[in-house]
Amino acid sequence: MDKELKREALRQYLKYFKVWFIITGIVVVLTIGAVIVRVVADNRPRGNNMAPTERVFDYADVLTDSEEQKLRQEIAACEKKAKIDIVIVTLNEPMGESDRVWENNMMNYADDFYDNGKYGWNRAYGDGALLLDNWYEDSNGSQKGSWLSTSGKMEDTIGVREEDVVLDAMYAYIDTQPYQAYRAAVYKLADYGEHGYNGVDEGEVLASLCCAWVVPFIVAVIYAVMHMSQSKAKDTTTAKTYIGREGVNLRFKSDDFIRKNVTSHRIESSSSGGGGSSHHGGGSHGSHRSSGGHSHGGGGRRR
Amino acid sequence: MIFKCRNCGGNVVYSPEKHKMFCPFCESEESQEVQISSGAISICPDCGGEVPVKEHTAAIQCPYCSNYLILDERVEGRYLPKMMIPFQIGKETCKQMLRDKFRKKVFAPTDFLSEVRLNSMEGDYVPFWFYDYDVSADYQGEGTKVRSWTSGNMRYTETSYYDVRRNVDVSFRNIPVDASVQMPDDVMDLMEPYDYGQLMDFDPKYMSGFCAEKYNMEAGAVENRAKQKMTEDTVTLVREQVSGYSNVRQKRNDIQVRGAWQYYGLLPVWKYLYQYNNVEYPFYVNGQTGKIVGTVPISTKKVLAYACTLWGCLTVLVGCVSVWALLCV
Repeated sequence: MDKELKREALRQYLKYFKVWFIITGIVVVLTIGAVIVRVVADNRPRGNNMAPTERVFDYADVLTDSEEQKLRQEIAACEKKAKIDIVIVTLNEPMGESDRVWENNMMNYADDFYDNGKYGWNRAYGDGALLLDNWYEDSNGSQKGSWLSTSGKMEDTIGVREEDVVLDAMYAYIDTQPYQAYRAAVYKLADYGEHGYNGVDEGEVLASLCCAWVVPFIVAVIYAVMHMSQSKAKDTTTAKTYIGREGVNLRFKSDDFIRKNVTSHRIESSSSGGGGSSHHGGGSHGSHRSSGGHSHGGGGRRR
Repeated sequence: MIFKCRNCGGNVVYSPEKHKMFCPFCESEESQEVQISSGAISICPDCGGEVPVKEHTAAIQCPYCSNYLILDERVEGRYLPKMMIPFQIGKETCKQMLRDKFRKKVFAPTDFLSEVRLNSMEGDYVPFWFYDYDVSADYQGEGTKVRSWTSGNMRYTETSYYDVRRNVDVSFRNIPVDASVQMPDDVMDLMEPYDYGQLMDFDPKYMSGFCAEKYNMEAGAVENRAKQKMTEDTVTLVREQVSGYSNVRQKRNDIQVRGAWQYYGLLPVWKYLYQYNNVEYPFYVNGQTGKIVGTVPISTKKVLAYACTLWGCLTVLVGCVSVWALLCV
């Protein structure tokens, strides 16, 4: 009897969770498949042989030869890891005094440089980012500033926040140690290229782990409580259930007015509060097309 | 008395499905003849076996020959019911209703709805007192009506007060109160309502095939419950007569009983007693309407197994979604 009961309990259990097990199984298999495909894809060698090997174009001459060499090596290592092309270009050229002209010129220069070099890890004009840093300064003022041109997967990854992170990391050193500044930018770009816009944030990893355990736990507890709660039955009688054929007979009814009260109060006129508006500095961050017809993202700012 | 089949001598019982007397042995219908018992009530007049008749038993099944016996002296004289509602739902239908209702109770013990357990279900005629009341309610209250309007930059609110009076006659018929010590009052209240369209004069033939009790609580002892129901319903019905006010404050509501009558009758109840971990879980089913009253026992092992499985599945799914999210960026 006990064995039969256990067998029946198991049958009920399997029947109840049949759909769950099937869905979970399919999702697990698909996920494992996707991970395998991704791993294979990640280990794929560089697919673009059209771009030059040079990554550091120090036209502003702010780096020493040895710094350029170190930067090239570090870029090469980062590119291999993040599967993106990273190009650093320094300039000392006027790009326009007004912000709008400056931004437009910087954007076009950076996009065209990337396109002309046919950069991209996976293919020409593919995954990668170019950091254009201008050092121009004259008697009319400074035109110093940087522009980040992104392409391929980096175009999706680098938004306003990420761009600020890269430039902030760079600007911490730029005036005194240009090499450290570009190095910091390269590592930030590589980080985004490797891990996406989330980057590697230990807190977020911990939070997502907690989410994967705690949220299902809470759902399971709610499920258990919901299935355990029950009532004996509902009271389905009403006040009229036992009324006889004679029913309810209203024999007398009166509604006599006694008195009235009138109160009044002044309506306060409400004055509309002033809304705030926020302005975010910096150049365009949306997707746009370069003169070569290729899609780019990114943005920049003066310093 | 026993209802015997004229054709085969078997015990004829009342079939709720057929709404007829039916012999389960030769399948003939309305073939019953009454066999009056003359000996001691605890001795089966058919097989002579000793029947476990309790103090209030009015009908019982003989444990030896399985015939249904109706104890004459407990359905006669002062114990003669005036009316009854015969069973309208048979055992098989009742079992199916229980299965339908509790099928989704996944934490119920595995054998809770098993055929073996459900077969132990028993049909009982429960003794009830039925109360009729003719009442007059004299109601007085203060009603308020509120009106608001705006003029210029002023907002005005006018509150008018009214003296509200109502005099209402209400007739209540057949307020049921169970007259059984054994039956829990709250459960019997939840079994209501019965459809009185099928209320008929008492006939012992409807008891054949079922168990029954005679009343074991006097009408006076349980009348308070009927009066309480009557009072609550009267208050609600009188309040329904007062409308059109923003708010009504009751000043008095005098309920006067102009006439009261009481009757004894039997109502059908299916009873399923399920034992789990040495605790008895009773389920009652209205033998006429099929309304079910009872709470299902919870198997702790099942709760843990099912909740943990769900937790595991969800964790795997959320984990996979996280992996997909990482892969997509």
